[in-house]
Amino acid sequence: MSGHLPSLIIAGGLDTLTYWSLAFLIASGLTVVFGMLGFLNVAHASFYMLAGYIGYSIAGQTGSFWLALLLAPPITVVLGLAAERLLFRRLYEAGHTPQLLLTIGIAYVIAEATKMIWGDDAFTVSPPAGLGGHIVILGATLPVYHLFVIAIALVLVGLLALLISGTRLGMVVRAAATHPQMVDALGFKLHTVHTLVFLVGVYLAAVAGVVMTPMLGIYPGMADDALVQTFIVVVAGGLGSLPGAFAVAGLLGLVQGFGSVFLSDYALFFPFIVLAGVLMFRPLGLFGTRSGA
Amino acid sequence: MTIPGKLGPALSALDAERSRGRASGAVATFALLGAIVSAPWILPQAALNDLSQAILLGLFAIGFNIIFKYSGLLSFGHAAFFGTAAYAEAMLLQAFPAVPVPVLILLAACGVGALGLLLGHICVRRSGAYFSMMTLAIGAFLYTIAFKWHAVTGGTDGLGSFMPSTLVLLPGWRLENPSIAQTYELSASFLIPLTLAVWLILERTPFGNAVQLVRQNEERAAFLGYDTHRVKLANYGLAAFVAGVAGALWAIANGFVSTDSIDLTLSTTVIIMAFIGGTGWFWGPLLGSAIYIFGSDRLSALTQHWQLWMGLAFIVLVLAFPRGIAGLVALLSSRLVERRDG
Repeated sequence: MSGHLPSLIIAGGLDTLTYWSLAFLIASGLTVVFGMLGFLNVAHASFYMLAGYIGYSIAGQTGSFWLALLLAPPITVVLGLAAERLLFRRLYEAGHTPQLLLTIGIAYVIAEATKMIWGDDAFTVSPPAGLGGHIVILGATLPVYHLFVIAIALVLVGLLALLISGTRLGMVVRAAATHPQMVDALGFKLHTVHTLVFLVGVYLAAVAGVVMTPMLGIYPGMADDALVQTFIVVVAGGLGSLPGAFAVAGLLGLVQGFGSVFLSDYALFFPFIVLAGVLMFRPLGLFGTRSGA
Repeated sequence: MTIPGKLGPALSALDAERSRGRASGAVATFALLGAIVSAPWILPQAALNDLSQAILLGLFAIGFNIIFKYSGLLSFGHAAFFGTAAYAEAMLLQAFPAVPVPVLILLAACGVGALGLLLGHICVRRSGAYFSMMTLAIGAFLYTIAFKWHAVTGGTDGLGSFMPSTLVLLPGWRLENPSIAQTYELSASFLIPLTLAVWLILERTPFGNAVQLVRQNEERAAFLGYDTHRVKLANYGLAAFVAGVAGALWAIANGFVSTDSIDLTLSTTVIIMAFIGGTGWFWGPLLGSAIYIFGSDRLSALTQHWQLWMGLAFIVLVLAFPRGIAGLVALLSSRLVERRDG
């Protein structure tokens, strides 16, 4: 609380952008999978956790955070592919209850498997050399790593938007979400489209998992914490709406970023306040159009 | 309440559903409840402790299943009600050790039922994935309160030593330092009448008919004049109340309450228990919790990472036998009957 107003505003603003980036990175994958496949994946946050742990091991073995950021997401995606082939794809058409149950089971297994491999302890990861320092702007001390997180989020959001609305592949994926029979009749393989969307979701979660570790560390309960955050962003944004998730993540970032400066004791409650506030005015979420049934 | 004329066909469909397997269901129910009553004489002390956990979590799972089976809504945060009641019971016992325990349990459970009616306003209007995600958020919210409000809940340390050394059951009937067998009997003496009453309410009263009609065809029920939102809301309140009784008894049986009684893990565990036993049968969740508790006991003796195997078994169960053990038994027995008749 030291310093004067400009520095507080700059620090709060940077925190806002950082939380915005983090919240959106985790939630985007879940939203994409829900919006395009209608699949509610409780294990989404488990892939996020898994990537965090894998990245930790890679960084520990090689000493390079960059290698972890490069390799851990693809490894997680391969594991996701195996899970998709074996389990997820059986239930694309099955309705939300079986999906919820199956993914609860998968989340259970992943949580216990990570405990088996890495133990019950929490680990801290230091940011890579060059990003560990601070810069001072107008009296506000800002961690360089936060700027890096924001940059990563910007790049991924840009790529995702481009992929979905700017490419032929994205067009097919969007068409498959609303007119599956037609897309099938035109000769596209629906299964491949579904798998692809699912893996994009896992990749986004995995990148979030690795990027997050220097800020929050890794610990056995991180999947549960992320799941709650993610669900709140997705529900308040409107189920399956990517712009909605983006906007709510921003709102969450704003409340976290500035609220933590003044009311840090209540920071854990901010997501719920945002959720309640949004639903009071928009019962279906910011950009929600359907009940999700 | 008079039954409108057009309700006829819908009710007869309900009746047909009921009469199928009614006899075998009744036999299974009496066998299960009989086993619960007679267990203290049969089981060794150590197993009785497990069974005590199993029937309380089973009662909680029945509460979860009230809103799932009868309203088609999958609650992903039902530990909110179990945990809140457990904390409330602990505080009530500490504040009023001279008041008979059943009064305190009912107080805690009614409070939680009212909480369910209040929170239900937010989530019961939605169905499917939306309901599940909203209940998860509500559960996480109450967990966060329990976690942060250290002065009242003890945070992660929890609340201990709230049990009075003399438990007043009724005026003039006291238990000095109740044993495991005695708290087990206390739990069972709540569980059996309560579950039978709830079963009767949902299966044999106009309210129960309304709840089931709303699940089967919400539009039709609305056209027949039912306020479908209020019907679902009332059922959600009932589901919260039953979870509340389980939570209050849990506080007494364990003498300790912590955030473990209200966290997301418990909310998912109760879903797993309910589906292991089978959500199609009213008492299925009770069976499921017994299988879960004794199964995890056996597994944890073999391996430290029993939850891995439990999770894998649950995945197989969801894919292969989505109706749980009770559904599997019903299927096998109907095949047997067909073979004998044919």
